[in-house]
Amino acid sequence: MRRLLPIVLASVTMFSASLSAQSSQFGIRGLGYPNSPHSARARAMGGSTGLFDAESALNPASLAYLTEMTAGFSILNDRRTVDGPAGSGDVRSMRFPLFSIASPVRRAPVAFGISVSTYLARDFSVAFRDTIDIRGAPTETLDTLTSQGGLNDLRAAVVWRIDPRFAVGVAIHAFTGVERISRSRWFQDTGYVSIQESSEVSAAGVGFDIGVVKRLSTRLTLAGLLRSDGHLTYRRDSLTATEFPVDLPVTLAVGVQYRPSAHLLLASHAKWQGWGSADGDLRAVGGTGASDAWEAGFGGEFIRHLDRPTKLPIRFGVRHTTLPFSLTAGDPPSETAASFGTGLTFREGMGALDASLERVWRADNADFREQAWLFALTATLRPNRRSR
Amino acid sequence: MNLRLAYRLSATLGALLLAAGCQEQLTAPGSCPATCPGGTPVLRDTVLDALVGADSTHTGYILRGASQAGMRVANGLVGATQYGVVRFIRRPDSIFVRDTGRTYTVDSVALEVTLLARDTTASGILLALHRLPATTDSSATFAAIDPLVVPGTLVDSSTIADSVRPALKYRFLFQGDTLALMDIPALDSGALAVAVAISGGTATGVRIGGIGSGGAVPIFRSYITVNVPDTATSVKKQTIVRGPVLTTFVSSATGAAPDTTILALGTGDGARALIRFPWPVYLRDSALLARATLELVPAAAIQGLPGDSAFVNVRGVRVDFGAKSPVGGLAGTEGLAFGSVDTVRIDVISEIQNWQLDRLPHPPVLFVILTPEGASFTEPRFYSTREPTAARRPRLRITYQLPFDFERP
Repeated sequence: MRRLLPIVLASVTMFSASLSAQSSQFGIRGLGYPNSPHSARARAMGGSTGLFDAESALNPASLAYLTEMTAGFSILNDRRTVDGPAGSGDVRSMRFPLFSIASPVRRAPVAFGISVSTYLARDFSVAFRDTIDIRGAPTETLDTLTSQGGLNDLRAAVVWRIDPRFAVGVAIHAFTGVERISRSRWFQDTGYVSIQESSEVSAAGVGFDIGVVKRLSTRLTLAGLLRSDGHLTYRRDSLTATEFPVDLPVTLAVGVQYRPSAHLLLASHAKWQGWGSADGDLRAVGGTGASDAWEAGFGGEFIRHLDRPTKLPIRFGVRHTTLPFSLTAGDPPSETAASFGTGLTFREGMGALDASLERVWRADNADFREQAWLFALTATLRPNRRSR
Repeated sequence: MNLRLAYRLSATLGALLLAAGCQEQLTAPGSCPATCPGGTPVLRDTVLDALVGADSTHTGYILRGASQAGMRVANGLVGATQYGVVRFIRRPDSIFVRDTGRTYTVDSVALEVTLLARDTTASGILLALHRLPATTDSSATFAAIDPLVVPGTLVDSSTIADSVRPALKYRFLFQGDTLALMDIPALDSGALAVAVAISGGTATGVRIGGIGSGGAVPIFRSYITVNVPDTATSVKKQTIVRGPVLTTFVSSATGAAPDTTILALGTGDGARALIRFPWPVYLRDSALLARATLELVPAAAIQGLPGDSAFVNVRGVRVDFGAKSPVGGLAGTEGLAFGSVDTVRIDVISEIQNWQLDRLPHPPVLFVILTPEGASFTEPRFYSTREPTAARRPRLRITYQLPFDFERP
């Protein structure tokens, strides 16, 4: 593992520059669309197993039961229909929301892991058509506002298996990222030239979290997470005068995993993120503010073949989330998702592939809505050929 | 499902995902203010008056009658009579054939002039050639030429048919009885000079090709028989072709008295106007320019030859050396409407953007040039910054956008 460390660090650095999650029109205002660092397996189960899933980057304690070094890479295909007062549009994108690598330490009750995931995605492009009076004449304009990038979460986690039934993990998070925003305006009157302007908004911050996994019985497992993301400092084009701080949320999450039979696993989770702490900071710089976000999910996994439990299990789940950043002040949007998925392993467990398909509905109380199909694929590599 | 099937399935899934990834489409309809972080862009319109006393008319950029625009010929258009004057390169009295200078006999002579522009509504225009003294040079004046444009000096003429379009070459052929009209006395050493005039029922004008008009230059051809004891036609029968050494035109109109309240364009000497503007910091540093329009107010109705378009071209300068400033690329152009006294507006955004450059910005100076330059019948006159009425002075109207607050969430 020591020899792999430089490669791992290089990979993490490389991916940190290119990661981003599926975006949403509800990530246009505020800091972006908050991403859940879930693997395709957890996504398929409505995020309910995220606190237990070592391939997700949510709970550092979830690394406790890894049996060998595991690297995971997720891709996400997003096809969305966006509705708003200005009309509808079809949007599609491809993103890489999560990369992780983790390993237990041989002959020690300790494991560690590094992951890079999208924290806040700000990939969007919106177009506006308007007619404005210039020089005493109405002139039609077409504006396009495009943002690419967002904030990434580089996590380094360590977990200690206190006993076979209880593990505690801690992690440090470095938040860093750049949004490349550009704005273009075209005039219908050819006497005017188009205007292009672009800028880079960067942010950096540090956070910490602590998580636990407690196996109460062979059927019942609990997990919990307490996380503080500290605060971010935003800055445009490296100009000190444009700096402004934003308090990031404290997160509390609990999850339960229950296995009523050998064939069936059920799980549920609830998460609270205190995004309201950013409200004042965002309003002070002209934003629409932020509000606390709730998430609850439920899901299950049906194992079809007990002799080969990783062979095409059936996963399903539902999830409901309130989103912290609203398009209009005081009107936080929400998101509901229904999902299912499956997975399989290759080469005697050396590789695994998990897939999920989610149908997502997002809306606020105003006229903004969107429906999306999210297809996620997580490829997992276990070079030592031991199964999960 | 066996392992091979699983491999195929994953390969297919991967290929599908890659294909889907290649079709990224992020743009969706937006509506402000909900989906407008940073707010709505603010457009502003401002007027920059030219620096008072820092504009002027400069002449001498064109040798009269030698530009691509050719020569003006008129019979009272815009109240002036104008003649084209052409002197050809000397025709030698002998030519070399087989390394020996040999005399020749002139069989016939042809003079060619090319019509560059005319008023297609004027009919019955007679294009006439008059013989001028071989000593005619660039100092010729209307007073000196006019007495020579009389029936006694007429060598040939041709009526410009109503159907004739510009770029038609008129060929005047002299042979037999008329050849004597093209005799060049020995004292003239082979030099031939002619005046081009027009006449007709209506006051009009034409432009004919001059020394700078490329394929439309006047041509003097002499078809000769060489005195050589050789019966081959290709040796005995030859042609001597001579282009012009001088093309100019003279006008009965006396130049207007210098008037500092006026910026004059055009004229035979190619008058150009140089206008300087203030360039405030708020525009130089951070404004996003959308449109910049130079506005010039005519001091009199625009006149010219119907059917012969005239344009005002505006160019920037690289360095402000006054009249000799090196000019940049074309910033804008606008056609002039004859008879109009409306403000002439020329969009010059491409040059104004050069005033914002971080490295080697252009000085805030504009050169205003008439096209076709040097021979257009249009000679627009615009008010300068010395005009007492401020509203008539040259000005730049600039529409710009304020920098966008990208960091506003």
